[in-house]
Amino acid sequence: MDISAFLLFWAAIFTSNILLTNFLGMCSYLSVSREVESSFGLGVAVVFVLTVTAGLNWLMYQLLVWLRIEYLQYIVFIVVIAAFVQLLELVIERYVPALYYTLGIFLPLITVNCAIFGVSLFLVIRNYNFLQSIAYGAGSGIGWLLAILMLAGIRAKLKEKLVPAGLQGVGISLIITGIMALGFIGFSGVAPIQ
Amino acid sequence: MKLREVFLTSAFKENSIWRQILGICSALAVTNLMLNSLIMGLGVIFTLALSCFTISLIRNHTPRSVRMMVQTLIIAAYVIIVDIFLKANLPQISKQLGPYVGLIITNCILMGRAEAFASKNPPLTAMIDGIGAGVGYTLVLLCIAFIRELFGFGSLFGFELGFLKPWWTNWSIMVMAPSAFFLLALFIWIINKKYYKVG
Amino acid sequence: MSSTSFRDSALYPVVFMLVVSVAFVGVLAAMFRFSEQKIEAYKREQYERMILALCADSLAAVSGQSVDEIIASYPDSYNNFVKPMDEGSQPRRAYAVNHQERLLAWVFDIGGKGLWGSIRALVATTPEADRIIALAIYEQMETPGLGARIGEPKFLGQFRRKLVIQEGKAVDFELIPEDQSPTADNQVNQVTGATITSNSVLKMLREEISLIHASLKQEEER
Repeated sequence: MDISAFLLFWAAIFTSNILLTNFLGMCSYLSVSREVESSFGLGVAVVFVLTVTAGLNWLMYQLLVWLRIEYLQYIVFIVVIAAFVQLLELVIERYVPALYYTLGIFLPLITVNCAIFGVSLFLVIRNYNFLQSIAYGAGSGIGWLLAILMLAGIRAKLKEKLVPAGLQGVGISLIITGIMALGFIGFSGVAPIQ
Repeated sequence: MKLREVFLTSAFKENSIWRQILGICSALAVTNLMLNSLIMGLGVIFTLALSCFTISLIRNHTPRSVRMMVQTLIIAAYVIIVDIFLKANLPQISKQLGPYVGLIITNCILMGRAEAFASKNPPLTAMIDGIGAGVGYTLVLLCIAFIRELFGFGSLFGFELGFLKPWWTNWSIMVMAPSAFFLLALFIWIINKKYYKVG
Repeated sequence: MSSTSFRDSALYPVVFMLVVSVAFVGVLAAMFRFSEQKIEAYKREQYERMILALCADSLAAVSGQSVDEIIASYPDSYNNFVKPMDEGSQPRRAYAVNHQERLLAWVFDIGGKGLWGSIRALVATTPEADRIIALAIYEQMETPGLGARIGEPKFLGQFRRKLVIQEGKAVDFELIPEDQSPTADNQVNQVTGATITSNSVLKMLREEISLIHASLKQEEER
């Protein structure tokens, strides 16, 4: 693959944003974006997990190929991600307990954040090398962080009392995200990342 | 806890999509066709039943520090077992399910139920809760898919509605994912008004 | 002396994890090995049937059998008419479709990159590899109902007998909206809402067939 890791990094943040273009990583995005503080905390955690697991899973995949057991890739990837998130949970609980309590169930749910699993699958499908994987992982993480911050920011500014009661919270978040997603469709094909 | 109550709670009162906001990613991807929604839904129900049952079975022996890894491993394993079984015995259905296998493994509902219910309740109850969550999820998916397929393709379950053909222009937006966002928001609004009597 | 059970030791989680992993992966591996042959056999059959279907029309024209007869008499018709070429003798995996010692068509296994993953297709071409006889996609990961519709007969049917190489150069294809009628031979109806995927197919055809055509020409000139 001839795409430079540098281009991949920027494309993953903006033009092929994992959340607004590939629609992965929605659940925690919608729920945690209530507050900018916790959004930032979760976003940073996701960046960290994505970058590291992209690298780890690339290595694991090379091992699987060498051992001719590629069919186990789904399990291996998700267990690597789960293990890493478990580790992260223990570290956060110990050193930043305030964040631990705010994030609640969404910290372990980073494990099944489809964005993280999706990135690992993509780097296999698109045959990225190690550097490209890390760049793509980091870029996707920052892209996800950007998207959740955007939504949190909009929700903070939004006068929620003007929103009909039934739509408050999840409803209006979905509509805002839908509009953002429509906008991001305009980016399709701008930067070829495969 | 009566099993019937458990089922109804996880299917409706505490529905995964509109109440707990889990399983959204797949709800956006598969709801462009009703058939896809049904297949995805059945896959999720089946995997939920099996994984919740198993996780509940070993819940008293699972050490806290590795519980997430164990849950993830079990969920992923069942999804792949189902996939291999279908590939070997029902290849046509497997072809439809193919792209969704990855989506089921990371479907937050599975992890959510495992963490919130199965790890704290006896096996049979956990299984019923899992099935309930899956059924609730499938129903929401089908509702959204009904609109998206009707407006986007002019068909239902793959059957073209002949009487629409001459004058109907397909709404392209319904075919693309953002429409699912808007429809889901609308759906939640209606449910909130009618069911939870909000606003 | 207090006795700490094995459960509380630091080793327990590791052992537990190991046991559960081995148990489940073991079941998976067993299932996989057991079904591997069946799955491979099925895949192989579908692949060969597809090759046959691609050139059924051409064969029907010269062999006197009807298209349906040819397709229904798999595997005999396949073994009769289709001959796999040796690996490496062609730039892509190739199958020669012969009738009575005469080369009717080639079928090449080509690939390209779609939006969500790679697209793999079988393309039947004339012996000079400048015109497509028929196209079929056998592997893709595009969104079902959207990009995946490139696998439907409506989209693929457009490529029947389409000229790809004209006077040595690749034809410049142009995508037009799905419901518009094409006014020129180089116009292809895209799948609505799946421009990138539709373009990927065109790109794959252009690049792969150009490569094959050039390679065949070189062979000829030797």
